[in-house]
Amino acid sequence: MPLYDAMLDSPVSHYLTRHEQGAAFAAIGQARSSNQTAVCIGTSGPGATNLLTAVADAKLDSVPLLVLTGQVPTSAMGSDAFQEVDVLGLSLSITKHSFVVERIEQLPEILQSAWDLTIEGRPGPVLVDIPKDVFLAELNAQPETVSKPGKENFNSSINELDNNNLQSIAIANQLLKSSQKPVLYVGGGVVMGHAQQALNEFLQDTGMPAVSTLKGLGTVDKDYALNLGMLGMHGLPPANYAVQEADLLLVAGARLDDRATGKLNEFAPNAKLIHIDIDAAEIGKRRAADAAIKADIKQVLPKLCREIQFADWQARCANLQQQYQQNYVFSPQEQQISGPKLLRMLSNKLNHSDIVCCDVGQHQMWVAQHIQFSSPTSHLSSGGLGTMGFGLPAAIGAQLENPQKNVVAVCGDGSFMMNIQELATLNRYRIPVKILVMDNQRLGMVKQWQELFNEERYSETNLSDNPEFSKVAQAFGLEADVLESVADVEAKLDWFLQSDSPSLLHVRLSSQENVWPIVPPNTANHNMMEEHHAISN
Amino acid sequence: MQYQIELQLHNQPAVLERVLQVVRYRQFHLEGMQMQPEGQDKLTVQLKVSGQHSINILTSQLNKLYDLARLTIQHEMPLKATA
Repeated sequence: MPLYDAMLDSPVSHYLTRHEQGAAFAAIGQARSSNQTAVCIGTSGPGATNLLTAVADAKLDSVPLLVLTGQVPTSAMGSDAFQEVDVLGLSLSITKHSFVVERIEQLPEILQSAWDLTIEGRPGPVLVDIPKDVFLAELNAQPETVSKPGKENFNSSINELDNNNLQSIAIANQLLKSSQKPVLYVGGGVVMGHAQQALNEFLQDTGMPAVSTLKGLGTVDKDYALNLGMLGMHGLPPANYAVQEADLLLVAGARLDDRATGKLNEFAPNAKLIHIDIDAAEIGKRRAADAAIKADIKQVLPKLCREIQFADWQARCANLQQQYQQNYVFSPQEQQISGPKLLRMLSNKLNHSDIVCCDVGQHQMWVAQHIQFSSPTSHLSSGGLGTMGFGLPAAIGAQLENPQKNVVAVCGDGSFMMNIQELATLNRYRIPVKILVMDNQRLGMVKQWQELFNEERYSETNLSDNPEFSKVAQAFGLEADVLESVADVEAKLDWFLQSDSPSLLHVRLSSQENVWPIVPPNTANHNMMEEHHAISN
Repeated sequence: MQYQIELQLHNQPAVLERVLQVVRYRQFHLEGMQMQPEGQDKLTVQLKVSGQHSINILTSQLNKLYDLARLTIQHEMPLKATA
């Protein structure tokens, strides 16, 4: 209450969501779309615990988030007081760090340290737990200096490359010169490290084929000839084959996670590895690096060798691209709306800097495969934690941060229900987010796995009792429509994108359509399955 | 392998819990621990841990702890075979 009372006279812009998880995801949307720290607030007890799923999401996707939680008065802490929860204890594994403020005199410096820490090195969430008596106290005395731990034997400057890194860069350059089949493997860390331009200059100078992780999508210029797209479980065949055939992977700001690598001991079996990451703990975690560069990628890229030749390999990768080109345009005789084709059409209608947020599931992979992005700050997708319910609140934060852009929330019917209460937030502030609900009346990705890998034993994935989403949206004060025929796709997308109001388009999809290709679990990435059979190259 | 690690920590709320959480989550077993306060706000902790993974998996994560000032690997020895 004291914080909210102070807000009445404060210049701080505050947006009230209808659930604390919505607030934290909105802050994530704001942070990811701007590459800057954003703030969310929750009250003590359930308010704080409701934030935590999104805080974990921010930890796994390296999002700079400052999380403020209220706490019972210091005199009541530890007594199981009403709405008391040990939020510091709960926060340990899902934050970069967490602070508890014991006296008002500590507050200014703790807040500054917490803010700085969100973007220092690898970004992430930092939580500050503030007891009620601290909120009520007045700061009369001099603020206290909180001892900030200095690390010994630790390179704290990210602006200079130390000798170890310079030696690793020299090894990397030898590997680059001797490589016949190099691939640049681009992760989300490139844009977070403000190195998108440096990376594209490197690509222009070398002509190296490039693949992207889910969070790296949009980093490589979309017109770059050898941009092979996303790799991994639902990656594109050219990307997966190129990585499996490569003799050198140059991994930039990525952590080689399991959805990207497939079966680890068969991943890129012939490749040496150059690994660049600001977080030393990611290097060697899943695969040993032949050149380990623990540094700011922006400092490293200009020092990498450009004079490398691999014309046959470029031709091979170009050939793969041509071989697996597919047509995703609706034909006049089609009756059923296809998710991939719908998203291709949406992509063609968006401006290059518009933002697409999505939930988690089949539609999320279709967004990654079929919408073209010009920056990862335009593609907000819950990668590491894979949190259903991410899309709508993230879109709210992204739209508040980017009022001049179209922000589209592409939601699955399962995910949309998980934070549907935030429709009230859209209406309250008239935030013109466009919501595309791709409704196949299923928890589609789980259904796909049950179909392909569990003998079609469908358990608890049928959502055919979904509500009529357009009516729900109208009840919340949104404009809404239903899209159920191919003939109406273009007109209804146009209506939707041109609306100045928050609006929802409920698309009825077949429950049969799946995401292709798919690499079965615990399988090497070159063993992709297409709709009717395994594909081979 | 079994390892002995010495940590110098800032004695802030939950600092030991943070260390132990990292040890557990990164799949190492705690075999022994000694703790000694040093002055007003420092803490020296000696940990004996064992695990199947490279010790770098653990130390690189411990190194990220905000309240960690110094980490030293003191001993490294094969696990004793049980009778």
